[in-house]
Amino acid sequence: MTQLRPLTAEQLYRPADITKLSFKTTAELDPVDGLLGQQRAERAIKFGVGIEKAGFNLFVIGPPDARMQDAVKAVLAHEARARPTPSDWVYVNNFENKDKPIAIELPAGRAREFANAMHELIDDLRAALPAMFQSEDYQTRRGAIDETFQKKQAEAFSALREKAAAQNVVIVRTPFGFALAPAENDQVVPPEQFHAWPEAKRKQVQEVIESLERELEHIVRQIPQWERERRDEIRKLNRETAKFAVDQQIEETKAEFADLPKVITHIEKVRADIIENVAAFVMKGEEEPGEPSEERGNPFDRYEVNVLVEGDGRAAGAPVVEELHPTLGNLIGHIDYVSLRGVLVTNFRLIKPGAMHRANGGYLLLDARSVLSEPFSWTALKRTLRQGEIKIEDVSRFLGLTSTVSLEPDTIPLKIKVVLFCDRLLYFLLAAFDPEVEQHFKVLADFENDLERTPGNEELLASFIAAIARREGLRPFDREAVGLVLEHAARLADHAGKLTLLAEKLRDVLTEADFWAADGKHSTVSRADVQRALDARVERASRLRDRVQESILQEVALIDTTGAKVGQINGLSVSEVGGFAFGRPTRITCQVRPGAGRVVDIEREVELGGPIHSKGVLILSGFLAGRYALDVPMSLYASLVFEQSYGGVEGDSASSAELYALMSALAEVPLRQDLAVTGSVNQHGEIQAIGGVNEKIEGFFDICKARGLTGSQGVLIPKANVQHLMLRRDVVDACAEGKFAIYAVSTINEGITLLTGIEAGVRGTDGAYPEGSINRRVEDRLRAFANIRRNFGRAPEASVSGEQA
Amino acid sequence: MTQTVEFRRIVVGLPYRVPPHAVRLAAELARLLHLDVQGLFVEEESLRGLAALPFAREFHPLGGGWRPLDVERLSRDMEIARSSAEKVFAEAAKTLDTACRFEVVRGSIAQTLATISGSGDIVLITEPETEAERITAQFRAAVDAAIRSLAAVLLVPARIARHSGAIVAVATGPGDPSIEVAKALARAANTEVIVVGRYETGAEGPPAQTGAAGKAAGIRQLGSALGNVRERLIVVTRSEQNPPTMLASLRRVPVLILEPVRGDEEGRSSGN
Repeated sequence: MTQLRPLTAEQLYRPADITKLSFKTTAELDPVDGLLGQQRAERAIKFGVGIEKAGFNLFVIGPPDARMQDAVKAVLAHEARARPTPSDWVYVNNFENKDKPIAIELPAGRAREFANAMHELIDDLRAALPAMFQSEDYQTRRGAIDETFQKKQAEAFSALREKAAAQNVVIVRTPFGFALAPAENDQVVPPEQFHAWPEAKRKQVQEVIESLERELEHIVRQIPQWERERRDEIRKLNRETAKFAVDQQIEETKAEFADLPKVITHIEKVRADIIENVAAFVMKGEEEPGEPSEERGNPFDRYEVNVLVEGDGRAAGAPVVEELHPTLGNLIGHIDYVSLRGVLVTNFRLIKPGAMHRANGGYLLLDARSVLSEPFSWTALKRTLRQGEIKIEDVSRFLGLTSTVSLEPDTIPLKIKVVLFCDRLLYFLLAAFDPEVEQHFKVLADFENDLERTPGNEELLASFIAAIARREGLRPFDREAVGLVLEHAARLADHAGKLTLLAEKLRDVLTEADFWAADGKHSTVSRADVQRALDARVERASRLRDRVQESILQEVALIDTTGAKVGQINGLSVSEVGGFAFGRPTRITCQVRPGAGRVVDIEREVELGGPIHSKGVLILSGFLAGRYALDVPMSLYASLVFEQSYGGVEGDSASSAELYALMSALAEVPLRQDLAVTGSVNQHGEIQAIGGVNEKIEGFFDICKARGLTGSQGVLIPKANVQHLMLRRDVVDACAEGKFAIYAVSTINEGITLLTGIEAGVRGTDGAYPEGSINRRVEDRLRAFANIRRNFGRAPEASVSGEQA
Repeated sequence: MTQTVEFRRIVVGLPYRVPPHAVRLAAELARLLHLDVQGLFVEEESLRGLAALPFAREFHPLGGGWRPLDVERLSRDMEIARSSAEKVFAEAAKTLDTACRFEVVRGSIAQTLATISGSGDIVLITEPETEAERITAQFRAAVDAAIRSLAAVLLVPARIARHSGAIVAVATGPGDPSIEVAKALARAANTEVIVVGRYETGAEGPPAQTGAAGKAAGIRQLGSALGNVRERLIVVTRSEQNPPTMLASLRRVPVLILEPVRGDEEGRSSGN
């Protein structure tokens, strides 16, 4: 019988070769930042950044803890410095249509200059114009116009009054108008006196009054025309006066922006508007008191400049903007409203920029999940990229939430590189269900989870550790400490030959190690500090693991670690709660009897088994059917169960254990209970790799250790998983001392031999398995089941009840 | 010697059209000086007589055109005007918490003002908004009656330029009562007093310019003299020859015209 040898201690843990690390502490290292070990992603990012065509935006995907944003930002910051600083953008009032504010592009840094110049211009005019309009010259001319008008009226009415008086008629006021009445000594003649007059006189007075009435009406009807003439005259005077004061100031302001035609055009419009509405500058303080309003209270706001994006104060080069809260408004800008007497009003000054405005001409970094979870943002992002311009839209209007008048600001041309970040699953789902993803995000940068563990890469990761320590303000790490971090990086990678690139997880460990170094008053972080941090992390998260182990040790959960039993085996599973994974043994049992060739997975029957688990069990049927008693129908009924498992079971890592249990039950040979098994199996009986091998081994080791290591205990793992082993120190030590063993198994035959102590057996030249071998026993039992089944209908007295064919 | 004038009451001769700003001003002034306000709504008998004539009709500038003026319609219109006036008056009184009395009188506005007002009263006259109103018999009679009475006259422009600012006293000398009245008003209103000296020629213009043109020129000069002063009210003592009635419309602020102090009227004025 071939004896399978346990793995050596060296195969269980690969220590870091700190002799290759040429530093004492990380303080001596040049920190490396950005894209460590991400050559593929780096090439993609540089390509995406370099290509200027539409649609070549970037989608960066990778594990959530990879800190992709930081890495990409570091690359982009470097690229951005070499690019031109984008233009400033402002919104100004549209004097022809105030609902459609005008966007003006200015060279970087000049927007604020423009805004200040306009503000100063208006300030100056607010001082200069009232003085001009209060000047004696203006007042005299204005008074002359008013006087001319009043004189015209007064003369007309006075002439009428005098004419009336000369004919003994007065003009009187009635509650709502005027009337003419016969009079004597300016007093209205009482009716009795009037009736006493001779008829001729009465008639004459009546005719006079009728004539005067026509004249009164004529004069009254002329008044609006006179008033119009007066207003025109005053307007003309105001224009002339205003122009005199405004022209010089406007020309001075224009001179500052002579190189910017759109600004000059706007200033000209401002000039025209000021001259046309000079009353706003002059009438302040002369108005009747009233409630302030957007129009009346701030008549000068319309000349101000709303600086939307400005280069002043930001570093030269293209902007790199990360929007962490990409609501629609935060993304494409929004329009604010103010409440005025219960009505919401707005104007061009209330237009607020979004991240796309700020990033225009540069790079915009967004978390795809955040964009997708904000209403309208994803659609708006795609629409904006498709149209190549930023259009601020008021979402509340789409929804009918507001019915107030809003603005339609000019669109702003967009020249931007959008970088979206998300995990792979989300990207694959999005790419599958939204065809526009491919249209707008043509460049994919896929971040690696880990990198090869070569001496060079270990040194590189040491520099990365130095970078994190420096960025986070941590103490330097000594070489031994770095060595342990590197080993932990391999454990995080679940691979002795790889190093994790999950920077966030490394940062957590480094930060905690620094804490313990501070606690121990160490100036540098030692290996002991790192180990303490790792132990403390496990200790904090291991309450559930401890309870599980306690239940096993108290035999609430039944797990044997000694002896042998038929149809019973220790399987291994991994549970992950809150980022902490731990392994635990689970008893798997099997019962067999004659039947219709069906292997029943009880977990699946009660819907506790996931599809992959069920697939693993079905593979067992395939294995049995392909290996044993090929000349008779499969006449087996077998049931498999994870004992005391009350939650869901998923994965096929227990399928080899289930097969061992099944073979044990069929062969009626007991399995060793001091061994635990993990590994999936295919239909040919080959053992395949599984995940979480370290946690699984440690889970069984902890139980065995608690009960006392016997020296015979151990775990069967797939041979393909040997490369993944980065076991805990105590496990490695126990194995080195021969108190525990890890067996690498590549076939079912190897495994069953180890578990039963009986050779599995291979078919001889006669096509039969050797007598007494496990395979022979299994095949014989299956033939026996086939015979029982064949004879079942013929001899009723010998049949068994229950299973229906 | 400075002359002082003591007021007891503001009489508001309410015409048919009641400008709320004038009523409000009366109430404000009354509150500042602790005066009573009496609103007089005069239902003119002469209009009723006119309405009794068969050919009588009235012109409605806004309604556009002529319509017969009969007694019944006139009564109805007067009632509407009275109700409106009373409402404006009551609102101003309520808002400014002033002791107010509203009275309806039949007769003529001139006779009523002449009868009811005396020394210690301020008669408020609102400048007409249109020249058409200015030539009506009632306005002219009301102004004449107010000016002829022993009461001070508060001329309120059709539109007031501002409601805050200094009180300006236009004085012919240090003893001019306008100075003390302006000071009292300024104290009450917590504002400053500006005293403008005025050369008394016997007319409001230079000696070479007398008559109507001379008066107008004189008032305009006074207006110009005030220049950029941002006053809220002007107090001026009426000269013997003519009242500065144009000043209100020129400066667009209320003008309080005081009666000149006469030797036989020392009883209502006191010196200090």
